Amino acid sequence: MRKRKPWIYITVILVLGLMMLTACGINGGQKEPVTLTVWHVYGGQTDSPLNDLIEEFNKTVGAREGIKLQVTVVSNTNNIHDAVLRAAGDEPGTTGLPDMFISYPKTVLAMPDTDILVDYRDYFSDEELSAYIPAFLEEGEIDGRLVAFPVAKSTEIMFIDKTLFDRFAADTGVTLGQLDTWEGLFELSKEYYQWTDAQTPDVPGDGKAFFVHDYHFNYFQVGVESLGEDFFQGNEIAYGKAFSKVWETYADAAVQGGVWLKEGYATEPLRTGETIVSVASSASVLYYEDIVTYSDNRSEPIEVIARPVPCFENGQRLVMQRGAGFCTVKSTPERERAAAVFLKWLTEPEINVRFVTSVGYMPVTDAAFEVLPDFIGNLEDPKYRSLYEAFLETQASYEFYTVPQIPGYLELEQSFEKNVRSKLRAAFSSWQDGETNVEKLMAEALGNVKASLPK
Amino acid sequence: MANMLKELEKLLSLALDRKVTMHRKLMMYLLCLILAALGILLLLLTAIGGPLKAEPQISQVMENQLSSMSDKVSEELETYTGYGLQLSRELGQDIEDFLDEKGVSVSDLNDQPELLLEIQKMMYSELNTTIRLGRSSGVFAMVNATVNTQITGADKSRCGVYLRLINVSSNVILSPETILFRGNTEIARENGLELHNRWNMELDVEGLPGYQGLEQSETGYYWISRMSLKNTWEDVILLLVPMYTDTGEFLGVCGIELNAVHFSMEYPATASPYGSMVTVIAPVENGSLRLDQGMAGNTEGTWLDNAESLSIIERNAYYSTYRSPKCDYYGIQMPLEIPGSGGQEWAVAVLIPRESCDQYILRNKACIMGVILGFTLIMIVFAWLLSKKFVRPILESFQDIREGQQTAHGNYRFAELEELCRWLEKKGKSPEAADLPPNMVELFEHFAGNVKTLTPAEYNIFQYYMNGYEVAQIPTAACISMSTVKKHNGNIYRKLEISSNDELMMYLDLFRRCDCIEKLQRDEMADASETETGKQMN
Repeated sequence: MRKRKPWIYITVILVLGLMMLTACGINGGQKEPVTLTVWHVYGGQTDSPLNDLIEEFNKTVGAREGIKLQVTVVSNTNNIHDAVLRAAGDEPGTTGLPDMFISYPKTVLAMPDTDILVDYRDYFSDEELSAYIPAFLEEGEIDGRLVAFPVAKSTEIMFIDKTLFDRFAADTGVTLGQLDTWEGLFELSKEYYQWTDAQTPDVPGDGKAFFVHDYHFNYFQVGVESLGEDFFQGNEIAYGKAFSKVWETYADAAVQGGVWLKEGYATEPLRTGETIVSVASSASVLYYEDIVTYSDNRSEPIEVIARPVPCFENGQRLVMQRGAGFCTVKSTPERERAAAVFLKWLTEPEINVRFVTSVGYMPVTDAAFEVLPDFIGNLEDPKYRSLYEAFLETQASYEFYTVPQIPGYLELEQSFEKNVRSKLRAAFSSWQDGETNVEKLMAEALGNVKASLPK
Repeated sequence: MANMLKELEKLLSLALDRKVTMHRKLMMYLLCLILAALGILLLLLTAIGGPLKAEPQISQVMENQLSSMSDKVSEELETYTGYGLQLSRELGQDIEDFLDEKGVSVSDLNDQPELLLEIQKMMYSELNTTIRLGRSSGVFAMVNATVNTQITGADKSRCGVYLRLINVSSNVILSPETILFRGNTEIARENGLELHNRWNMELDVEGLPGYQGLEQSETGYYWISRMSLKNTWEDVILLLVPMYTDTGEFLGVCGIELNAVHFSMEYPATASPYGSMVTVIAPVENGSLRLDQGMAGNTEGTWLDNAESLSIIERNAYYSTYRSPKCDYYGIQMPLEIPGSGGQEWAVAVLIPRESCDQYILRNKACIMGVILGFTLIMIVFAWLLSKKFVRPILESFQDIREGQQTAHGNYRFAELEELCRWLEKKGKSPEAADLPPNMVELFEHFAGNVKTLTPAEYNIFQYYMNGYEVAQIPTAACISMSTVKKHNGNIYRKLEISSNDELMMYLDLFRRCDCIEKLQRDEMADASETETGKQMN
C-alpha cells in the first residue's frame, strides 16, 4: 500500500483552523464614522458658513477617513463661554462638553481643569506648526500646552451705516474723516444726538446715540496702551493720566446721549437704526443685515461700510487682536486624531481663506495670507469687500494688541463692562433730567465704576 | 507522589493495552461520519438561512428600541401639546380680556403699536413660563394683527413674540437663557434678553402651512413638518394651536417649537453589534419616510443625512429595507399619533445602516459556517484516520492469514480476530507423523515400502482405490475387464501383505487421517519413464 506523508494532514488541519479564524474575523467595507460634536461661533444663530464647510468636510475628507462632525451649538462667544464653563464644571442639567468647541484663552483659563484639553503638539509636527503665524499659536498656549488652535483671527473694525450717516452728513456737513480719531468720533456722537433730537421738535429728549462699542473694556484697554501707559497694574486697572484722557473723551459723549449704553451686542442697535456707527469684531460683519428695521416695522435698505478703528490724536495706532481657537476635549487617540485631521483640513490655505472670508476673519497661515488678495478681489458683497479693504489697511498701519493672560481677567472684564454701561446710563439719565454739569456727572460715574469693580 | 504517578501510568497503559472490539471501533468510525453529515447539513442550513440566521435577533433588538423610543417621543410630543393647549387657553383668555377692556376687536389692533406692545408683554410673560416649564427649544404666540399695515408684505406679517433658547443643549438646566427671535425690541430690553442675530419685529405666516385655514374656520391644533428657520442654521417642527374668543373669533396662534438639534440630543444613537441605531420621526407619504420633513435623532456612527427621503424597497418577515440617495438602512416603524398639517400621518422609526448590518450578518454567517465546515472536515479526517488506524490492520491481518503467516499469540489488535485465529488454528491442527506411536510408524513405512513394489499396472489400480473407487467401478474407469482387475487385486494383496479389500481400505483411511497419504504417492515422471522402459523391453 502506498504511504501518505503526515505533513499533508497537518497542512489540511492548519488550513481548516485558519479558515475558521478568518471566518470569525471578517471586517471589510466602509467603517462606521467617528462622530465628533462641535460647538462654534462662526455664524452665531445665522446660517453658518462653517456649517457648510463642515458638511463639505464630512462628504470629502471625512467620508474617506471615517470622520463625521456634528454641530450641536452655533452661538456667540459669550454664550459658548457660559456653556463651556457650566459643562466643564459639571453643573446639574448640563450635557457635558462636546468633542470640540471654540473658546478664547480667557475661557480656558477659567475652566476648573485645563488638563482635560488636548495638547495639539501631540498631533501636529513642528514642521506643520511652523506654517502658522507664531503670534496666533502663542495666543492659544496655556501653561506651555497648545490647547486653543487658531483657525481664524479677527480684529476690531468700525462699521458705519453709510446710508444714515450720509443723511446726517448732508444736513450737518460732517465727514467720514472725522471718524479717524476717537476725539472726532465722540464729538460727532454729541452732534448726532442733537441732530436726531431736532428731527422731532414735538418730542424732546428723543435723540439717538451715534456710536456703540461691542466691548467698552477693549476701548479703554487699547486706548490707554496706545497713549503709552500700562492699562493693568498687577491684576488691577491702573488709573493713570492716560486712563483719564480715554475716560473723559468717551464719558463726555456718553453722558450727553451720543453713545449706546444698553446691554447687548453692537450689531443690535445698528439693525434697528438706533445707532449708526459701531466698533466690533470684524466677525460681526455676518450679523449686519443690509436693511434697518424701525420701531414701526418699516424697513429700509442700507449700505454698511467698514473702516479701521479710530485712534487718539496723539496716540499710537493700536488695535485689539481677537479670535478664539478650537479646543478639543481629551478622549481616545482615534477621536483626538480625527479632530486634528479636521483642523488641518480647515487651515489648508485655500480652505482657510474661503472660510475666513465668509465670516469676516483673517487667515492663520502665511500661505493663506498669500492667496487672500485674490479672494478679496472676487468677493461679491460690497460689505465684505469694504471689510477686507479695512483689514488690509489695519494690517499695514496698526500694531496688534493681545489681551494679557492675568488671573481674574474675565471677572474684571465682565464687571467693568456692566458697571461702565450702567453708571454712565444713570449719568445720562440725570443729564436728560436736567443736570447740566457734565463734568460732575462724569466724575461721579467714574467714582461709582471704581467702587463697584472687584478689588 | 512518584508512586501515585507510577500507579496512574500503569493503569493508563493497562487501559490502552485493552483489546478494543471491532464493534466499538466501527461505532466510532460511524459516529464521526454521522457528525460529519450533521455538519454538512448545518452548513447547508446556514448557507440558505436556516435556524442560525441573525435577522430575528436584529429584529428583536430593533423592536425593543422602537418600543422604548416611541414611548419617549409620544410622551414628549404629548407634553408639548399639553403645554400648547394650556398656553392657547390662558393667552386667549388674557387677550380676550384685554380686548374687552379696551373695547376693541382683534382687527382694531392693526397699526396700534402701543396696544400691540401691551399684548406682547402679556405674551412674553406666558411664553417665558411655558418655555421654562415645558423644556421646549422655543415658544411663540402671535395675534392676527400687524403693527404697520402700510408696508409691503403686511398681510403676511403678524405681531407676536417668539422666544428661543440660546443654547438648546442647556434646555434641562433650571433657568435656561432665552433669546428674542421675534418681537418688539422693548420686550428684549425690559427683560434683559439678547436679540437673535436674525431678529425681526414680527412673525411671517407665509411659512406656516394651514395658517389661513385657522384664520378662516375653527380647526384644531396640528404639527407642521420640518422647516428651516429663515436665515438661521436651525431646523424645527412647530405645533400650531389656534386661539379663539368665547364667541369663536380668531385671535391668533401660539405654539411650541421642537428643534432638530434638541431632538438629536434627546434621542442619541444606540450602539449595537449590528451598527448604530438611529431614531427618526417623519411624515409618511406614499409609503416613504419623509425624513427631509421630519427629525433624526443623533446620527453618530452612521452617514444618515436628515435631508433625505427614505423609501421602502423591500420588506422581509423581520424588517424593511429603506433606501436613501446615499445608502440603505434596515429598520422598522410604527405610526406616531400626532395630528399633522393637512392630515399628514407621522411615524417613528428605528434605522440601522444596511452596510454595517450586512457585515454583521455576513460575519456571523461566515463564522458559523467556518466553524461547521471546520468541524465537518475534522470529522471526515478523523473518520479517515480511524479507518486507516483500525480497519487497515484488519485487512493486514486477513492478508497475513491468507498468506499463512500466522502472527504470534496476542498480536492481533482486535479481540474478534484473535479469537478467530485461535479457533482456526485449533480446528485445522492434524496429528503430525512425529506424534504417531513408533509401531504405527513402522507399519506405515512397511506398507509404503510394499506399495513401491507394485508394478505400474497394479499401482494404477491401487490409485483408483486411493481415490475412493469401488472394485465394481474400476473396469469401466480403467477400460479393463473385471478379470484383469481381479488378477491385479490378487497381486496387490499379496505384495502389500493384506488379505482383503476391507483391509486395504482401512490402511488407506489410516494414512489419510494421519495426513500421510502423500507417502503412498509415487513420482509420476519416474513412473512414466519406468512404464516407457517396460514397453520398449516388451
